[in-house]
Amino acid sequence: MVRRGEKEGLVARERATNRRPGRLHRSWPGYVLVLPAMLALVGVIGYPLVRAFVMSLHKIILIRPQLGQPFVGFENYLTVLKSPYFSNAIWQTFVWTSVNLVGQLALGLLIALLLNSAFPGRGIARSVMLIPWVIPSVVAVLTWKWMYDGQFGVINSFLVRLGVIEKGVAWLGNTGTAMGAVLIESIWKGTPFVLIMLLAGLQAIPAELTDSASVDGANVWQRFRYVTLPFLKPTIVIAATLTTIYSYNNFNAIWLMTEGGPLRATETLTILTYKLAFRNFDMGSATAAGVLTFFVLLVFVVVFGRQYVKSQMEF
Amino acid sequence: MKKPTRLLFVAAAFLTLAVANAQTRVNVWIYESFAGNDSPISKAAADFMAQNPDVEINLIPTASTSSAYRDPFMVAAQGGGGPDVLMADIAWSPEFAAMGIVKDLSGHLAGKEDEFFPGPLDTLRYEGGIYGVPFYTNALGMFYNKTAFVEAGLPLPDADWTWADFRTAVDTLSNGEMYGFGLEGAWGGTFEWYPWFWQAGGQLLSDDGTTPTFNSEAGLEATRFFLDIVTNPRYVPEAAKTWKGWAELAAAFSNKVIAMYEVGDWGIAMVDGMNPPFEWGVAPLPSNGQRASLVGGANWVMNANTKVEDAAWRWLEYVTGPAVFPLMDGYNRVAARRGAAEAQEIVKADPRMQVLTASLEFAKARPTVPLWTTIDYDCLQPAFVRVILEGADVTSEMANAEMCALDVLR
Amino acid sequence: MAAAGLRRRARRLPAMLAAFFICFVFAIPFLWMILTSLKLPSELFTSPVQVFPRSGVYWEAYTRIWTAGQFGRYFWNSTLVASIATSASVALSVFAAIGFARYKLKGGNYLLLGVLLSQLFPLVLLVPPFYTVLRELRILDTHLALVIAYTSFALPFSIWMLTGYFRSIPAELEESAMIDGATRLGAQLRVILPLAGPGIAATVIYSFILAWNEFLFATTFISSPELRTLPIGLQSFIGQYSTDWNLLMAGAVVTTVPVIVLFVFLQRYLVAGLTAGAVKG
Repeated sequence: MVRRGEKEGLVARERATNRRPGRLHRSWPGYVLVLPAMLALVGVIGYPLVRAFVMSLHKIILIRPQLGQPFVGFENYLTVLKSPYFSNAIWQTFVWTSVNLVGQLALGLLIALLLNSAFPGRGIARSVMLIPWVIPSVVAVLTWKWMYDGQFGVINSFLVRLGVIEKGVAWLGNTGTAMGAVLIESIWKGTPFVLIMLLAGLQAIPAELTDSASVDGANVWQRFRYVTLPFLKPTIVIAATLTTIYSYNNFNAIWLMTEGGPLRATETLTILTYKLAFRNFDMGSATAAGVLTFFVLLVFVVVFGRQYVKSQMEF
Repeated sequence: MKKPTRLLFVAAAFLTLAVANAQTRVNVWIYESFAGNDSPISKAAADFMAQNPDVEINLIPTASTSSAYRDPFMVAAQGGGGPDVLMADIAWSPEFAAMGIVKDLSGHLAGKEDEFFPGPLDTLRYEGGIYGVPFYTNALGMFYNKTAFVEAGLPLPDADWTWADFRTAVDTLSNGEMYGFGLEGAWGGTFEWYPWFWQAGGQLLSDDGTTPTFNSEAGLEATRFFLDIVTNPRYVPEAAKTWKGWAELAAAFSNKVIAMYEVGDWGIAMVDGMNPPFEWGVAPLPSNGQRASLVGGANWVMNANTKVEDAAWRWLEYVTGPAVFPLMDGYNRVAARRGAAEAQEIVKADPRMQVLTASLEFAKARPTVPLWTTIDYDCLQPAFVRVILEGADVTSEMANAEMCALDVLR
Repeated sequence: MAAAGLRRRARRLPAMLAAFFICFVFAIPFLWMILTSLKLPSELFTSPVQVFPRSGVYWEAYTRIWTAGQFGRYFWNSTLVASIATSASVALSVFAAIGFARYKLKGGNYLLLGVLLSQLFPLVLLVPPFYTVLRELRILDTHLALVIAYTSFALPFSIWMLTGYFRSIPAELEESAMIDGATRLGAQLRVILPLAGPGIAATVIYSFILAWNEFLFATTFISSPELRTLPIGLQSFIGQYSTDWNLLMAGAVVTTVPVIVLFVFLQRYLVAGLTAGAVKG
């Protein structure tokens, strides 16, 4: 990679023009470096995204092809916004995403700190922690669904044996417990990702800093609060942003366990969108719902992103 | 090399080339569970190709869950691609037809309609056309634990048993250790409910398919009777609330958790495979003056994008013709072609299959309007689940479901 | 000395026990999958629940997956697609991250935010338009389609991760390398890459797992059985009426283990001390 990079013309030109050392360099070579990735993103995701947006402005009922696909402006948006299912989905999405976020971050941080200290078998422990993330999600979800089963599920069998419950409960089948049950699976599956990010982030903390802090007599909490946390902040912000996005987009976990039920108790926006597209065959409304949630998430990302930029400045 | 040999060789090479060139390739999606190296369908394809050397049948086994099969086909066909022909669940047929992504085959089928059972054929009718060919079919029956019936001193269910007999049986068999009945409760139980609804004389939609008519006297009677049993925690296990696969029910049945459940012929091999430690049997669903059951199964449909309609049709004609009987014997299924009961070995050999095949006579299909699935999922199922989970009132929930269905159909 | 070492080790004991306990809890579903794959089909659904195989261990699923379908082929396909997509996305994101971290780009931070926008739309809705694009490019039903898709979908995370990481590496280090006669980009790559080990390792793991487990695109864009990837292969054990749990679980175990093994090798790049000291040194 290094050799190929040297061959690039931009490098040669840069050698001729920019010999002055400086912290941040002229910008144009930066654009050239960023460009290939941007092109890939715009081409592969940007274009379909624009097409999806255009679809949201048309009435597209797949099972009524005879109607054509007339332009209807923002009618689909109004339909979606007026639907009681949409407000329910917003609420479920909020619960789903925020519990996922808090759960995964807290667990990920705790485990990252544990696995960052040196002890025998640390490598094995780290590898084991990766397992939930690596298991193909369809199989992971089906396994959990089975473990939750009211009759054949190992979780119920364990809880009954412990005397916590008298007989098996259909955790996924009751409105009060379904969301919690799906959330546990999702936090279990998502935490390793946060963990890996934070583990990598912890490496960027200069060892002398923590060492000198402990020489100064700081206790564990103080060292965490005043040394580790500030250094980790950018990573935490990235992890939070990505966890928010991935939780929101998580389709398999909910769909395969509850299909959004019972009684829409686990119907997030992603599930609602899928149902609109593939069960009601209303692509216009489905894409409109997608665009609306795009903007909801955008607010989140901008808020988090500001934090990120700020934490970068503090650095 | 001698000259004549060489000539022969060249001629043979040309001939092979010519044949290869003239061969029309037909891409065929089949359910993964039908595939395998020596599967009956690959044998059928080989036989067909032997008779039709100009056609190459390319079987593409595809996982048959709706997200791996129906959705990709929809996306592909809408996008101008996809296989030439495919097996498809009867519930998907109206959707495909309405989207215009499968071909109307009524021209090909002219004069041949009588060769198929009317129930399965009806699932393919859409606005005057016939959008596929029936392949195999099944009807729901009642699997029951014979040993438990005998031990409880109950008469064994026969062709004449009634709703009252069923209710007594459920009540007697629910003894604290065993539950009398089980069902796929994750769907609210609507799948199992249809036959009861029809037995009570109900009609789901008006004949023109535009108005829901299930909130009727008959509908209420059936729904009350059915949900009365389902909501009784002594009769139906709590775990049934999340069951949505046949494996759980077969396991619950084989483990003596439930004494009865509604299922079709695919359940026989599943229960047999679990070696239940008791004797069991298959009965028709109990009647209420009228008899009814629910039609299931699969059709063949042809992609509207296909460029090889002629070759594809010849394959469909072959695979749903008389060759379908031995083919379906290989899968323990019943062909949707008339005469199946007399022609198929598996039916002749197994009295349980005979009961289920006899139920085909009065089995009905769900309405073939493309939005019926939506009505089922978004209107009926929530109504049932509210009754089951929240003890809601059947009368008001059926009224709600009717309003909801009206909204969907509008 | 020895006593101090012992004391230090004793202090670590609770952390170690806690770590192993958490690992165990997280591994339970995987253990359940392994146990399931080893039970006789008749022992799978039992009431009361049976945790361990009763009548001997049933290894057959592990041999059957290789003969029943084309699992070996899927394995190779997944390896190929995931490796290429991972290499491509890491390469692209290393360059992009150097650009973001080392150059003053006008609106660079907004661009960085923009990268994330691509992830804010439900994937299921991108599939139909994406299908049309791939069809127009005539690369439907090829591994190239998957490589392109996976590379792009791994980019946002990779760029963010690496940008943050590169920014934490002092720029002075490159300056000294440049004084030694290296070009700017050469110096950046030579200095940053070894120090960014943990960041790159995390990126590699992420991209690889994404490509290894992706289902939605693979099932829509690949139709030829010989081109299918592992998640599609696994799906084939889930039948219309019943699921072959033995094969599904054995298949999932076989799919999971190689990635974990890969990680065992990769994770030494995540080990403390390898980089942190060097940065300041």
